[in-house]
Amino acid sequence: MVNKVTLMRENFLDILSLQGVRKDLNSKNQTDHLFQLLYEYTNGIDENQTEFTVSNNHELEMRIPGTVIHVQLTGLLKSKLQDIVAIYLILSGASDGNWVKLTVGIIIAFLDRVKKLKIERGELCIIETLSKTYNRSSEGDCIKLFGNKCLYPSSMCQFMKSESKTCQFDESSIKSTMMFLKEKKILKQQNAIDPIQWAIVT
Amino acid sequence: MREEVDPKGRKVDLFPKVDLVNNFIFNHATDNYISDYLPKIIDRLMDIRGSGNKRVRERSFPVWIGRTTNRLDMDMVCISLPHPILSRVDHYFWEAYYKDENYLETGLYKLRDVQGVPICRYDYGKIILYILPFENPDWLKKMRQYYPSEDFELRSWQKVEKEKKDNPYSTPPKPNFKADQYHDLKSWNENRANIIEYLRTLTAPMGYAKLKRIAQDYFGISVVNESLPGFYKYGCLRLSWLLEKDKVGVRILINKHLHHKLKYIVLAHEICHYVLHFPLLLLGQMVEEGSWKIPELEWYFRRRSDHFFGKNNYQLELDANQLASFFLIPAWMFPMKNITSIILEGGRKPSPTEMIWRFLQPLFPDTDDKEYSWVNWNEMIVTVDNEMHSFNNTKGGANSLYMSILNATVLREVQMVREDVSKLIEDFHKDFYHYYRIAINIVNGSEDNVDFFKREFEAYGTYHEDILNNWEELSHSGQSFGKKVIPPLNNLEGRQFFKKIPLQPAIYNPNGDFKNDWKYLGLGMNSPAGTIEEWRSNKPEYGLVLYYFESWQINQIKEINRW
Repeated sequence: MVNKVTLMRENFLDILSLQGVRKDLNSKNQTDHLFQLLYEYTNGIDENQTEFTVSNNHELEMRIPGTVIHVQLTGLLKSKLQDIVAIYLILSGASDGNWVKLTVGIIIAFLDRVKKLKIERGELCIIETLSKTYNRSSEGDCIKLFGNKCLYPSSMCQFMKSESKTCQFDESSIKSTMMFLKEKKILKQQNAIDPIQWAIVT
Repeated sequence: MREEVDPKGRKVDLFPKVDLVNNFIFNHATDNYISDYLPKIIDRLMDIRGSGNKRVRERSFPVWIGRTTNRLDMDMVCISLPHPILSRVDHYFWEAYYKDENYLETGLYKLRDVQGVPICRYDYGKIILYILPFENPDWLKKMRQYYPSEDFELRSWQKVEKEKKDNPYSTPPKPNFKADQYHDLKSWNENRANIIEYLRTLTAPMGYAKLKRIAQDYFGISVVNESLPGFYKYGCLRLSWLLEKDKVGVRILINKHLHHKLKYIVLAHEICHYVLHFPLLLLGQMVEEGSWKIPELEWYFRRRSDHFFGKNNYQLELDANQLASFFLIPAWMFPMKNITSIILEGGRKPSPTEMIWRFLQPLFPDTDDKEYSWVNWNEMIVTVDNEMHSFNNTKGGANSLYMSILNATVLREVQMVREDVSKLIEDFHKDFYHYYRIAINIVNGSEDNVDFFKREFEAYGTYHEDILNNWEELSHSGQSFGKKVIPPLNNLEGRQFFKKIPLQPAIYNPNGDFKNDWKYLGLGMNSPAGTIEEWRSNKPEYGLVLYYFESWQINQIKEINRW
């Protein structure tokens, strides 16, 4: 038997150990869209990944016609798919509801840039939190991060309070880091006057 | 309170999600509504602080303020207290507010409907004002001016996203029957009547764990979670091997990697297949075993099955889904129009479709945390319309589990397909069984004209064309979960049909390695053992059909081997 896993629209989050992501996906359409992106990505790896399978005579099965992802789910591939989901959530959160415009290409390109961010300098946390803040500003990020549990406690971030593993990323440091990310073309400034609003460059 | 302070060094109060609050609602909100109404709140808190009653005085509670519009476009301010709260405390507020010229009403509403945010807290005599870390609101300056001697403590607040404990399920009644673990047509007939009667008694959905236990303990159906990587279905219903026995065991395999809410739905669906289509399943099992010696049987079964039930068994699936919907929305609620006819919401009656849609939302993981109330009522109505519209426009029907169940349940209101499908199954049986008996007679040698069977096929006129047109499907027909067909070693003519030797892995080869031993299915210890190559070489004119172990069998074998 070929050792492949079948990811379906209803179970792909469970197989990728991303059950918690369900609450971050705002609608069924968005879940469909994310699954479609994963299908496009895996199809690019293995064009024959959808195997032809037929029901047995002697069983009545429940199978909904539709796309499935039938792949050898190695540790590397699972990790890559998890990264794609994480980037999708960041970009869709920052897209003001225009997540339908996200393509696999955009996500992969952004993933490559995100991998160069330094977690221990809080750069990744700023990006992740930006889409969840009330006004996409340094103040908003600071409110979300400061005093709360560190998102990456094992990374030994310079802004982490080591005893309590809480974030001490103050507003002026966030502001400076955002300007730095602007130079790296990860963020773009959307207005000139405080409070400055930021968007992710896609 | 949170351990860490906010960026301005203030304490942070944590607010878990609050559902209902006690509201005082005022007409005529302005942009400075906080400055206008906060003094009304602070005055009340000072009164409470000065109360002679210790029970009133010695307590801590927050107050929310919100601005919202109602369906009549009235711009309102809402001052909200926790619910429940001591009535005497509530009375302090009501006694002052009802005399206010802008006062509208008092009532219990959801906090999200009044868009309330924490504005202050009474904490054992201390008055705390809430502001966000980087805020410097005008109302704060005004409060300091109005109450120069009051030492307000400033804090910020943070919403705590508590994991929603959602349980749409209830404890089901205990069935008053117990079916045997082995089934034939007679016992199935009795069992299905009992199960259908039991379904009538359900008052609410019960959840996967409870339904699994009831299926195993009372319906005589085993339920296992299938975790093998090649399992590409949500679930399936399988029988044990007949091998000339009269009765079979019934088991349901459920995809392990499904959310428990979906497992419940899939299990209900498969149980309904058993209730409605067991004879078909039994016939399929006979065909599977018969096709080892008469390979044409399988082709004929598929062909006739497609003809009667459509590709992908659409009719059977709809039939099972409609009965399964009774596990989700109980029988007493239908016809839904009887319920919706006596409901009035904002001057409008919901449609039965909309009501069914609402009842199904908590039962699916994608939609169970979506809350609808007056704030987003219109959004809900639009969503229902869009979903039903998109289903009707999708060629081939539902493309998700959710849509297939929604459609079946909505259809239940207008039309159950049971009668039509029942007739189809009856016709299919008559059609197929006739030829099955002929085939078995040939095998048993009581029919001495072997070509008779082939002639019966040729009477349809498209025997050869059908094979050529459907060969792609047929050649893969062996490649299914747990089953693999290997053609004969000497199949030089490229025969499409060949007899097969049914094999199962030896117990010491649970994973079904080709280079390890396989045994003849059903002979157990009496079977010779050999690798796949050895079996092929032994009978080169025969193909092989390999039946792999399911994950629960592998686990059992490993457990035995461990001991």
